[in-house]
Amino acid sequence: MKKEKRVLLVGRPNVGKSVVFNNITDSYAVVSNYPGTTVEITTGKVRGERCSYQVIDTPGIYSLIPFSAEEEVTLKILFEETPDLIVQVIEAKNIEKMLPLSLLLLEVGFPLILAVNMLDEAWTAGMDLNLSELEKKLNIPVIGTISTRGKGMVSLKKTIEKKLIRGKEKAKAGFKLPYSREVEEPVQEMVKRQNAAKELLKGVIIPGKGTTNSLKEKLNYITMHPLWGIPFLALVLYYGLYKFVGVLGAGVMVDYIDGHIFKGYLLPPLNDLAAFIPYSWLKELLFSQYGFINLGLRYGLAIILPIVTAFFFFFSIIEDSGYLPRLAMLLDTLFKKFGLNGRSVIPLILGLGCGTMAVVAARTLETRRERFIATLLLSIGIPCSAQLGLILAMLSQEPGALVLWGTALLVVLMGTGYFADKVLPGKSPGFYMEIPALRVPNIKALLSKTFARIKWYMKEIIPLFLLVSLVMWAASYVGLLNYLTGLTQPLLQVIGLPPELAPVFILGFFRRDYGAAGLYDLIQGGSLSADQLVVASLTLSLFLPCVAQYIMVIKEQGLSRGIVILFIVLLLAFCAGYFLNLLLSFII
Amino acid sequence: MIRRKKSFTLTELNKGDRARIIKVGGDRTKRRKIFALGILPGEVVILEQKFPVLLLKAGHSNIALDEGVGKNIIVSKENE
Repeated sequence: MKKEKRVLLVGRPNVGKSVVFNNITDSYAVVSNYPGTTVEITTGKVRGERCSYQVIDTPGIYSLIPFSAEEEVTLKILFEETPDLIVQVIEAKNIEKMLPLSLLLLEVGFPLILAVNMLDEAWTAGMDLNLSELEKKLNIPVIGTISTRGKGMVSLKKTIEKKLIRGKEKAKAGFKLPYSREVEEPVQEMVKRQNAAKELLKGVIIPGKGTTNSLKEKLNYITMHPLWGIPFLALVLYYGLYKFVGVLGAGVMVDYIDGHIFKGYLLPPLNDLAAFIPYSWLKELLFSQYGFINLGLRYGLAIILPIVTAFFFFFSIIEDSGYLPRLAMLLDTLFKKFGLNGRSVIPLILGLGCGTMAVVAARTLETRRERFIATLLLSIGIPCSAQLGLILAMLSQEPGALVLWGTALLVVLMGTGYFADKVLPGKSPGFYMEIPALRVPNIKALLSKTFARIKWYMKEIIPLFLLVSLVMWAASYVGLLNYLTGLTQPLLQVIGLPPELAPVFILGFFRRDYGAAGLYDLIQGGSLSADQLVVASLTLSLFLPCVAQYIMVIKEQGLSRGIVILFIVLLLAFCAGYFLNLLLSFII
Repeated sequence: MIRRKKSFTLTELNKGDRARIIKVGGDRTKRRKIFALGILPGEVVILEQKFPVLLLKAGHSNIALDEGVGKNIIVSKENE
C-alpha cells in the first residue's frame, strides 16, 4: 500500500499559515495531540486533480533551534517524520528576516516551496516583489499569495501537486543539521545567511510608494502606548469580556438554550420518562440534582458551552488581530514582580475563559519556574468565565461587596506571585517578543479556530462532567459525601460561615462554577449575611479549581507538583477567608 | 577631556535613534533566541519606544525587549 504523501506547512507565527491551511485543505481538519505531548497539530486532506495528500499545519518556528515545547514538536515532525514536501509561508513585507530560515531548510536538504503571503501588506508598505526573479535565484518554486482573499491558492496547490508527483527526490530519512542542536550555531553562520538573504533579495524587492492607513497607524500607536494602552485595554475587557461574553454569552445565549430549549422542550419529556424507571438508584443517577442529565448534560451543554463559546470567539479575535503580544508588552513590567513576564498574559487571560485550557496554554512559557507560577495562580484564583459570571451576578446587588471581593482576590493573587518569585530558585527570564502587525482577523480562520477549541472542550470536558456526576452519585450512595461535608463544617465555622455551605465547597471542587451556583441558591434562600457572602465568595474563588483543571495540572506539572499546588490552594483559601472574616468583624 | 563614546547599550539610546548591532551578550540560550528574531550583528534597528519595554523596528518587523535583554545588546549609532 502506498502511504499518503505529507506536506508540512512551516513558518514564523502570525504569517497567515492557518489561513493558507484552511484555504488549501478541503476536508474537515483534524486537531490531534502530537504523540507524547499535549501540543496540538492540525491535519487536513487535499484531493487534488492528480494526487491527494495530507497537509499538516505546525506551530510557528523562528529557527531550527527549539525555544518552546511547541517549536520542539514542529522540529520533531520536520526531522523525524520525513515529510515529502515543506511549504514555508513567509510574510512578504518581512521576507528579508524570514528568508534565512528558507536558506537553512534548503541547506539541510528539504524539498521546499515558498509561499510569499500577505502581498497586499507589502504593497501598502511600498514594496513590490519580483518573485519570478527569486524563483530563478533559489531554483525552487516561489508563489505569491494573499491567503485572506484566497489569491494564489490555486497555483500553490498546483505547484504542490507537481512537486509531489515529480518529486523523486523524496526526503531521505534522518536529515542532519549542519551543527548539533545542543551546540550553539556559530553566529557567523547566521550572519552569513542573513547577508546571503539580502544579496538574493537585490532586484527582487522593488521599492515603490506606499500608502498609509492612518486609522491602523493610530491604533498601532495607542495599543502599544504605556499610557493610552491602559484605557484601550479597559475598553477591550469591557466590550469583549463583559458585554460579549458576560451579557451576550452568559446572559442571552444561556437564557435561550437553558431556559427555552432545555427547560421548555428537552427536560419535561425526560422527566416524564423518569416516572417509568422502576429502580430508584438509576433514577437518581440520571435525574437527581447531580445526575447525568442535570449536571452532565444540562450544565455542560446549556450553561457552560454558550459561555465558553463566546469566550473562545473573543479570545480568537484578540489573538488573530495581533493584540495579545501588545498586551504582553504593556504588562511585562507588572508581571515581572510575580516571577512571570509579559508572555504569561496569554495563559492568564485564557484562564478567565476556561482554566483547564489555560493550564495547557501555560506550556508556551519558557521556563519550568514560570510554568509552575502561572499554573499555581490559575489554580488559586483566576476565576473562569462560568464562575466569574455567577459571582458577578451574586455580588452585583452589593457594589461594595464586589469591590471587596475583587480587591481581596487581587491581593491574594499578587501576594502569591510575589512570594513565589522570592522563594522559588532561578530568576525571571528576559522578555523579548516579536510584535506582529495589527490585522483585521479573517473570519474563516476565526471560526475554524473557535470551532476547534469548542471541539476540544466537548471532547475533554463534557466526559469529565459525566464522570463527575457518576462519582457524586456513588459518593452520596456510600455516604462519602456526608463524611467530607462533616469534615469541612468545623473549618467553615472558624471562618465564620454557616455549616450549610459545606456541600457547596465540596461541589466546588468538582465544578468551580457549580460551587458558585450552590452559593447562589443559598442567597436566594436568604440564609447568608452580606459579610458571609463576601467571605464565602472569596474562599470559594480561591478554593480548589474544578476537577478537570486539576487533572490537567497533574498531567502538565506532574503528581508531586500537583500535590504541592493542592496544599497551597487549600491553605490560602482558608487563611484568606479567615482574615477577611476577621477584618470584617472589626469594621462592624 | 571628553572622549566620544563609540558603542552603547540599547538602553542608552534615545527614542528614535538608529543603531547598528555590534554584539549581543547574555547567556547562550537567550542570545540564540534574540538572534532568531533577526537581531544579528550588522543589522540596523530603530529604537521606537523605551517604555514600558524597549521596542525595536528591524526592517518591517517590531520586536519588544525588556531592559535586562537590552542592556546586553551593544550597538553603534548610525547617522542618517
